[in-house]
Amino acid sequence: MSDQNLADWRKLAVKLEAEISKVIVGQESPIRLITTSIFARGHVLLEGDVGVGKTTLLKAFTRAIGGGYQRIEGTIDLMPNDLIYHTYLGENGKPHVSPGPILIAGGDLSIFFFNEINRARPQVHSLLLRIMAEKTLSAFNKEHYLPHMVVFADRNQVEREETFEIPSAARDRFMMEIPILIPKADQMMKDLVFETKFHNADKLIEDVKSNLIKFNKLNELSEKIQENIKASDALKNYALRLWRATKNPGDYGIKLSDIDMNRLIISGASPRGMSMTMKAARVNAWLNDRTSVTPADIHAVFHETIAHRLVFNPVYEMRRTIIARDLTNGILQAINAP
Amino acid sequence: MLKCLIFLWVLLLSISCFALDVQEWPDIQDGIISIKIKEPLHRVGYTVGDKSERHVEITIKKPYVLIKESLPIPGYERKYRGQDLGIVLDAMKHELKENKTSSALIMDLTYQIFTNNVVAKPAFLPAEYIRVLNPNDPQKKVFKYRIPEYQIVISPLSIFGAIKIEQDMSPLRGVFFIDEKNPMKTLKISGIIALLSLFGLVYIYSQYAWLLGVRGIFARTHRSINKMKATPASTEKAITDMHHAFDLVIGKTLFSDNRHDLFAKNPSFKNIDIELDEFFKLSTLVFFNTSNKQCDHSEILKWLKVFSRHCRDCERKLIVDKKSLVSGLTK
Repeated sequence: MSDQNLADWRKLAVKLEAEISKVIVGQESPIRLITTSIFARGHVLLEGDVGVGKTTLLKAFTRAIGGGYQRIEGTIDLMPNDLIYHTYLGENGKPHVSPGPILIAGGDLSIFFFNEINRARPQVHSLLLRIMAEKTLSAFNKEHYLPHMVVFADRNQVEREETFEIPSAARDRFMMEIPILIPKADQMMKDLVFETKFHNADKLIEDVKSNLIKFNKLNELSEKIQENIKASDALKNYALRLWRATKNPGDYGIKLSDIDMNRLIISGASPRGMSMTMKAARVNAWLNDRTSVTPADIHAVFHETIAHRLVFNPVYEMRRTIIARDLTNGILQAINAP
Repeated sequence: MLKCLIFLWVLLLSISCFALDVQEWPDIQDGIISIKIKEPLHRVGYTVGDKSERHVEITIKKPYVLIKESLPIPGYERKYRGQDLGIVLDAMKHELKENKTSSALIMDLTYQIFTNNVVAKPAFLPAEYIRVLNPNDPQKKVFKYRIPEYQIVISPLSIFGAIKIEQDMSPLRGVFFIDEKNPMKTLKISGIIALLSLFGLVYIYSQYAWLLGVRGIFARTHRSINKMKATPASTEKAITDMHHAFDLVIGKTLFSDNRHDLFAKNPSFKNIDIELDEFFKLSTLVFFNTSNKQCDHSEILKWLKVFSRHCRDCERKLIVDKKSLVSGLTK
């Protein structure tokens, strides 16, 4: 794939964002981050209240990039095999087995949305995380490959009863955790409530141009982006300092009000986490038509790629969302580049 | 009975104290104590409220020593022939210096006049007594020494009492002089303050002020960049120094996207926004660009020298001439 191809692909990526923005209003930042994760081939955790348009957003992306879209709801009685198959009695009265949501689209599955992942049991998490990591699944005496699959999972942060928190090792498999918030501008809020086109999500996403980009080319493209977008020594040093600051923020003079910085962090970002940050930063540089990663590219993805990986002292865990935001902002403000 | 005895004992004790107080001490023999007195400049013209000072230096030969309790006590009302003297010791400062052969007592006695008269009246700054003793004397005999009085004349405020001063402008009377010492001092201090304030105002409103902020972070950075020679290492150091200076100003790392923090700290930087933009592009080009694009280090350093001077001017809250801003270096 040549540089010219990369430039053409960038135009397509920008067009993809524009298409999504036609139907999803006030979500420029999440759209950019999801685009980044799609081109970096990273799985995403979505964070947000119910009814803010997460499903519509993902359906719109699926329509634009093509491939299969599957969704499953996390429930307390959901079992791992519910992802793989389901059984039923056919018209002839005999039992039948058909593929579950993971397998039904076969190798063309491009987006798999796990709604309220923290309502499902750890066994289900375990299976999903294995599929996310290996992109293969053994079922029906056969190895199934899911090379184009990107998992989007949503976790309900408000209700915590009958939920199973995703362990830190599992969170680490997700490239980003992206907050989806209600737009703040009055006009956008009015539009969402009074514009009838926003009431029917299925009809709404028909406005998105379908199969704008070829989902089965994304893996190759992603590799090319990672090869072509370079990082200078100064930037590598900067990323290293950021990484170290996630482990010992107190050593870098970072202070948060009412927080004992010596007790806050149990575990900082992992090597996999930082490599995912740099992967996303490279895609961000590419989307901004740059050939090298700059600190601004890291900043654009730092919170979303790092915050969910940090393991806090249980005392502070209940305030994770606020503390993580303040901490990542504090790290970016304290570490100088160059 | 016991009460009577206690009463008698208290009575005797008080009588004995009184006896001690009023007892007479013999004069010290000549040659033991010598005295020098610097008297007030004038003897006449004193009236109620005036103060007069005497400077007294007394030398007491060893082995005699001063009894400190005998020093004059300010505030004592003096009497002369059963009448109030009307002259009171207002303040007394003293110093006692010891040497091998003698001890020197230096006193500044300030008297205040509390009397007046319709005609000129003789009066005096009263005599004072000090007491000395010889510590080697087994009887510890005490001697007194008299500091002589000083004759002055109390003068009336006006002739024969209260009359209208305008009707009493005798050409024979001297001119009334107001003491100009203190008003002149105040005038001089006020003048100096006014002059300094004027300089301050001129400085604040002038475009080319330089005194304040000479030790500012950008002033130092500009001086250091100005001395650099155009090499790749110098260029990198100059940019790093500028980043460091910005970081110090806002108390955190300054990036292109948080320039508003810099503007909040010092709005003068808004005037050089286009140069700030150029600076961040330049920083990215030098530190983060991995392409083989060659940099003209002499041009970059030249620009950095101008930019650091503009930042220094902003630090001093001066208005940078927008015509002097340079951008487009990184195109």
